[in-house]
Amino acid sequence: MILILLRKSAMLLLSAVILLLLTFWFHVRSNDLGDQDLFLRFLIYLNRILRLDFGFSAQSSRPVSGEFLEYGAATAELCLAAMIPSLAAGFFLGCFAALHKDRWLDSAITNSSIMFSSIPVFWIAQIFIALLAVRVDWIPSNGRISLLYSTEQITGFILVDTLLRDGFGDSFLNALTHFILPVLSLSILPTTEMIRIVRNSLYSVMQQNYIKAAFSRGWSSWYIIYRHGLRNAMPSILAQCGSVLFLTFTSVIIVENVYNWPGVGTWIIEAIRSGDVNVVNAYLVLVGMLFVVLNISLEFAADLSIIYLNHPGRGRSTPS
Amino acid sequence: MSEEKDTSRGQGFIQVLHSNWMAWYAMWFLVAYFLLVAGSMAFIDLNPYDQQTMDFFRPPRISFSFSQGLSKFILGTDDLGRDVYARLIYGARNTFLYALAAAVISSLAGGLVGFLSALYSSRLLNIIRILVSSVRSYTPVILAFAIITVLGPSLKNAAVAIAVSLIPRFTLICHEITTSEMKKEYIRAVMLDGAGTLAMFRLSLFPNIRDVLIIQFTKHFSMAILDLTALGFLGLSAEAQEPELGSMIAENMDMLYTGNYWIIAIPGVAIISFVIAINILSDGIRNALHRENL
Repeated sequence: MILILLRKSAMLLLSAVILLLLTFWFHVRSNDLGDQDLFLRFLIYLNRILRLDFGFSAQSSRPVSGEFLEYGAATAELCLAAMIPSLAAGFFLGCFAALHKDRWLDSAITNSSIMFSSIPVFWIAQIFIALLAVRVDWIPSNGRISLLYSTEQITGFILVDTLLRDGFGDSFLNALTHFILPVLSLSILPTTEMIRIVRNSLYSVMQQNYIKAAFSRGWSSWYIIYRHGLRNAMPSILAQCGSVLFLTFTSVIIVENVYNWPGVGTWIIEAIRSGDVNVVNAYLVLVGMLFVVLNISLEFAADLSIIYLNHPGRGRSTPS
Repeated sequence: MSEEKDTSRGQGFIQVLHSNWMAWYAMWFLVAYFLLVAGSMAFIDLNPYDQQTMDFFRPPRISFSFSQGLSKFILGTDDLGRDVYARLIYGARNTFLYALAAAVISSLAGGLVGFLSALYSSRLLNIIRILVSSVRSYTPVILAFAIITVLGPSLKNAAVAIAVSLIPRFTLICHEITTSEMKKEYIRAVMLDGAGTLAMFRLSLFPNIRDVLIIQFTKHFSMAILDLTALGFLGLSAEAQEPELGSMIAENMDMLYTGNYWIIAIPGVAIISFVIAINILSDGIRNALHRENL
């Protein structure tokens, strides 16, 4: 346990250093620092990053880290709202598909998830606008909240803010309707990816002899999935969960740009278009670090789940 | 089940495809797609840049008369009066060629590193794994942000960014397949017969993992297409006038509010049908080979 933790933190440290070297290359290239003492510059750069000082945005002349927090809250809210239902739905659909392997339910789920994963998110988002916001004017498709309501920030999460200010009033409902289309288009890809991961991991477990033995004892299939299937499939599912996060973080950039959601995605695209290198650099550092930490903690969770889910009471056995 | 596996191993690629009708039709769809793009570029006089000053934003109309032939703009014109069909054909060529190049480069480089580290050195692997896990923390789109801010937006830079960020994935996959295959008995038998590492790789290992590599390649190809079009949509790949399927959708985004959905739908369908065909193809190969754990 301690050994795994040490190994993972060494990995974390090394990946972080390599990531910082990558972003430092970007920093040097974008600021024309090629002729200076690079080692000294790197130390200065490292010092600034450790103090979370990314300079000022060229567009708004405000500190970049403050702006990142503000936009990051909007993005985090959208990502959470899309990921929680899609992870749950993908998980159950994947379990269904693995249970009904090679029958029509499995092929229906698998084939439709292949179809949906082939649709570019920017396209389906616009089709949603065309059908649900233009053709029948049911749902708003622009921004986080109607301009009629005050946008004073308390926590940065708009649903929480409106709830705190007005309770279950008009402004909360208005913010909620603004969520529908972005969440709908953002949740498609993570769901399909989750279905694929859960189905494949669970299916290879369900082929084992101990599962057949469990079936022959007359247990219900969902109990077997809970008792034997998921416990053994969990390490492989957890280890692959990173790709779900990746997909969500890539598509949230696009979704925000289609729906004018004032989050990190619109912010970074605007910065790239106007050559605002401080913003791009901060984005690369912060998002890269977020991914490094998420990836390694998922690997750590996968290792832990090998120990604790399979051998209850035998916590000291080492994973292979 | 193991017998089925063995027979499919012995068969050629075409027979494997023939056993799965969806994959079979997907393959023919891709061939037809290629012929349509190549044939249109070779035989029809198409100009994706030419602006018809009299014909802004014409809806698609297909009419045929024996005296004049097919109507001039079968898919209509966009808001600047450019022929949508021409832009579609040239855009499809640009998008799919650059995505293919990114997939080929990343799989070659990733395969090389993965095989070398699996065959020769375990210490090299640790270094690679750390490198991979840090580069992997950038998705293609995010890595492209860095490259494009430094080098400026162009299709080539976007393809380079996608290729670079796909390399780690392919490296890990190649490494995993090779190490798991190296533990099997037939490899040990070949090694005991006195084969060198290279001969073993070429004669026994590679033929057995070839199918997996083909499947992974198609998967990376479809990912590269989706990422390249996403970058095009964000305005970070093709330069101003250059036709590209993703940026075609972005250019005409405002037309959505006028109720003319076809101008968004046409390039979208072009992307989706291609990607779905590729995915069905790779899934069909996988099912035909009974390789479930990919």
